[in-house]
Amino acid sequence: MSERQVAALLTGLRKLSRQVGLYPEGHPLTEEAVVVAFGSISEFLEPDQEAALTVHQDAFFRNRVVVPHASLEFRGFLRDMQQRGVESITLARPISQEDLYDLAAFIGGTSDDLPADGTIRLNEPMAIDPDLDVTPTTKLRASYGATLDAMRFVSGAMVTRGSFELSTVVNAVEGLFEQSVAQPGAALLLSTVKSHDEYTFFHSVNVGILSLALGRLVGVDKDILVPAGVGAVLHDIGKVAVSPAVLNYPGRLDSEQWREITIHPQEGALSILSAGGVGSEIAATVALEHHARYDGTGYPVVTRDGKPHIYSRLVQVVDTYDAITSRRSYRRAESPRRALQVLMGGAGTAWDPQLVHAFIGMMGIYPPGSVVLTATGETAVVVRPSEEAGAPLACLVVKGRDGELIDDPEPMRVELDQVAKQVMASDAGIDPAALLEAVGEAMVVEA
Amino acid sequence: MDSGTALDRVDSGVVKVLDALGAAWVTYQLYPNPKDQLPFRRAVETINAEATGDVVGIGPGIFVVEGEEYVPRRDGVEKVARRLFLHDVENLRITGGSSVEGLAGFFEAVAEDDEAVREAGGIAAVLSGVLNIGVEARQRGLLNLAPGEGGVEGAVKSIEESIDELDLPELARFAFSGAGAEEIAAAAGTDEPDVAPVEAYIEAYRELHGKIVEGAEDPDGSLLHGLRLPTDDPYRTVRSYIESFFHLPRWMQINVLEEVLADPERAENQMFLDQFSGQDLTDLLPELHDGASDQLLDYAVEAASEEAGHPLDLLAGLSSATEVEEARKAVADRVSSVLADREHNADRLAGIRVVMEEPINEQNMERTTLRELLECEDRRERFQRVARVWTARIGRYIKDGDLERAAYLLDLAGGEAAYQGDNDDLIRKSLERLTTPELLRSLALDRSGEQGEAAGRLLTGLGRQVIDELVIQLASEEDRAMRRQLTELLAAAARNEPDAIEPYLPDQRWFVVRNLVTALGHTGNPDAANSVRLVVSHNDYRVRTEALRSMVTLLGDDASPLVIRALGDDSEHVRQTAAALLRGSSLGDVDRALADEIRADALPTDSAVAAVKILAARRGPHGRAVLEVLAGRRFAWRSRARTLRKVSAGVLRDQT
Repeated sequence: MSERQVAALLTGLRKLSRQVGLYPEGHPLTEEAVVVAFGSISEFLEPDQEAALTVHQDAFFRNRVVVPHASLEFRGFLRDMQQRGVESITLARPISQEDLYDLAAFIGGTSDDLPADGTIRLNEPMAIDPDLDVTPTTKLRASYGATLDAMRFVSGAMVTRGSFELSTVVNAVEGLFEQSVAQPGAALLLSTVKSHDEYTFFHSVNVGILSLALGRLVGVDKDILVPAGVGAVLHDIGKVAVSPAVLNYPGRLDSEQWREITIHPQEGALSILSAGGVGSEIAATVALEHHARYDGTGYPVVTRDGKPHIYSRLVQVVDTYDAITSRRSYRRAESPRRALQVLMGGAGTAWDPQLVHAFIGMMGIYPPGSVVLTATGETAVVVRPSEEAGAPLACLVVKGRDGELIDDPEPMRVELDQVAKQVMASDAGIDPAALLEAVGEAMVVEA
Repeated sequence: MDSGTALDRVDSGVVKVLDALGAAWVTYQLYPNPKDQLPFRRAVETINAEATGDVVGIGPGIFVVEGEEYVPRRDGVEKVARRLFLHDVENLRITGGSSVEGLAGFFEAVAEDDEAVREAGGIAAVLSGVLNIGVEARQRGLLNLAPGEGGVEGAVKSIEESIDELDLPELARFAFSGAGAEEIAAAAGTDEPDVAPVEAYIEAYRELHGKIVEGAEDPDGSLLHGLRLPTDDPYRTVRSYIESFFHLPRWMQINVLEEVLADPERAENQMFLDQFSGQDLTDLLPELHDGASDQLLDYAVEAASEEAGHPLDLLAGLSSATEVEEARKAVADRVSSVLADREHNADRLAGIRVVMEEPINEQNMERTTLRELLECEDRRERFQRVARVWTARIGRYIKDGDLERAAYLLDLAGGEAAYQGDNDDLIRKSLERLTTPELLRSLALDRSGEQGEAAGRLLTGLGRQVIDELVIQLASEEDRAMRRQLTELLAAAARNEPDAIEPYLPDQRWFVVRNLVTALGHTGNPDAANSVRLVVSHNDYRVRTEALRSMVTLLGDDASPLVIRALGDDSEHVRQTAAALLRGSSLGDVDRALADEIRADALPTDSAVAAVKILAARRGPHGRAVLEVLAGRRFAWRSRARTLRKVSAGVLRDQT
């Protein structure tokens, strides 16, 4: 079973449930959606005759196995299912078209008729048995998803009514903090998850995770870190005010476009102050200053003691790292190591040198999520930061010497001099964050 | 983690055929003359080359190869599978012997409405007259989908129809049809180095750039007329196309890049290069010929100097591939040294912790952020928004009873924020929002409490904007205690600009004017005397009385002549008030003034008598001397003089 299979199913069901709400049964567009959904179900069931998709603790499971990425990506659909009281969907070959249609209409809220042919069954006791394969990282992912939801909500609220409730984000960040404390290594790896379609949201959550992690490394308390984390998560919220055409422009911006981009810090600060609430002052400060550089350049020009606030400086470092390692509209992603090099190059001018050094100390020379080609030909993903300089890299081998993907990635310690090359995760066809569950198992094996 | 089963089969002959069929189907859908197009001819070649007699099962949008589902990686393949599924095709056998005419005939049937095909006897019957397809389709009847009923088909021009209207090269059409990067690369790439595919690839890119990027900049969007590009990201196709570069064979990447670098100033070439990461550039740099290598480095240096900093300043200042590598190592060494320096790391973290643990002054943070926002915002409509948020927060603190914080934030209006002068009117307008009756009442209630000083600062800060509202409230307030509070608020509000009250002094209601005069007096600002002076002769004695008091408050001794003259007021009440003021200690050296007034004969007799008595009551040495002079006059011809002599003598006698 792969994430892709479940994602395909959820895509198919989501599309069909929307289509059913828009067009009558038999409409060509609905029929096309039915065909797509059929295909995705067939893929989902493979190689079984029957399988269950279950919702538990804000995550999707296929036959008791958590499906982490889809749980993040299809969180909205997960909510739709929860709202309709759907805890599990059991699918059995051959799927009846009527059942499929009923399911889509039921989840979409356009009908209360349940599938009746028996090929699709809802909330079967066996499927919703609480003894699901909840991994230690499930809660971490749930927190990540909750923070994503908060960002989606905040963004939507800003577009529709120009304001939002800060407490939504504060609650999410508190959850993220708790989970980051419980699983610091896993949290760093999870922060490598990227999304092309929702870049800003995922980036915001990643910046939140990394800021909390850096703050914890420094040794400050939750009382200090959560407000800073809220600022980190909301630092780019002002981008809601920037037109998508400019945000998505695939090249160098002209002066007018650039000017539009540069307003997002002040727009973000303004919206946060407008929202009010406990911690809004800190979050607004971070949002306003996250592009104001350490040496007084950047934008907007801030006059606060001649340099940005310490929280802003911390977020700047983390923001830069995640932005560089992400695929942007105007540039392909850089490797994590290269991002560290950029940070190091700007330490003392663009960024606070102490924080840059602390961040590099946290991430190690090959940060979690780095994909390396070993001297012996394996492709491995670094899953934890090195505990000390020169220490072997804690990796999972994801491709063997023959270049074949390995179903169950194996733990491996890679000496630094055995790293032949660092490669881009996307070029290697690997999503490091998807290894999260495997990391947990690997750590047990290592022990 | 993907198991990779689909990838395992990617090189199999069957998959090649399916991928080729997908590309050919897209081509068939896009072109009026698909048989002349490269992907179409390539599909025929692939079918013939890979004809092994394999049977491929058909599912809804999927193929089944050797019992395993092959999930298409390309949209075109999925579309073929879907169409075949709708036509009840159970499986395809790859027979070979394909021709472009045969494959076109096959697609013609597959493109037909599935219900029409059923009515014609099914897909097998329709295909029976088509030769040299290269595949055999076997029909089944397991799942029959109901045909469409009504709907909006045809109401919107299809993207295929729209693309047809554009004069585009083959690859560009393919990209326009929504092909992914890998699909584009598969259609564009060849294993054998050749000039033609490189030129075709670049030409298609330039066309896309022209149609999409330049089209998007075209005010009327005429170039994109009819195309349903995603409004949120119209450039997705361009990005996918450039992304396809990274899936091309290496030889082609190098040739395309060298071609692009031949003229990096061209807008489309610059955009192409801008998409590359520093990692991409350094990976490709060593394989470029010298000229292109130099151009790439020049490009990187120039790009890094841009204000927007695209693509990233990774290659800035480097002049050769060797230096690129050296710089990379140098920074890597620095990273390593940071990691190795454990002792300093601990100190560093401790240093950061100290700074982070410094108490947060949220009030200060808030004010600083708002000040910075007021300073940096040069868009007038957004400045207005900033000002509104600022005053809204002040209002919230006032409502919450946190007057200290409200006053602290309001201080920004006092000139601390260097906002542009053009926006003064917006600041005033925002401050007016704070002058609601509710807010003022809550301020009035707090005025006498512990936060009285803060309330005063707030009102002083609000100044002129609040006076209108206070005057209105003062005029209508029935509760005496509240009136007193409102008067105090008005005084505080007018402290810096007392003349702001002046326009209300002609009010017909004596009590309104009296309260305003009281407020003027309580401002403590001597400038307010100018306003008070306007009503010292008011026709209502109560106003005149209050005016006297205020003048004394505001001017001190300088008010003495006015008060002495009031001894001759028509109103007994005013006279008594004046006398009381003169007798009291509120005025300092008033004796000389009294004496001057008495001697000048400017006062009526009754007033002069009162002045004499006051002078005696004050018991000052100068006053006594004056009284002795008056009492000792030998010649007092006039009645007034005699009266004053007599009164003076009397008071002196009383004193002794």
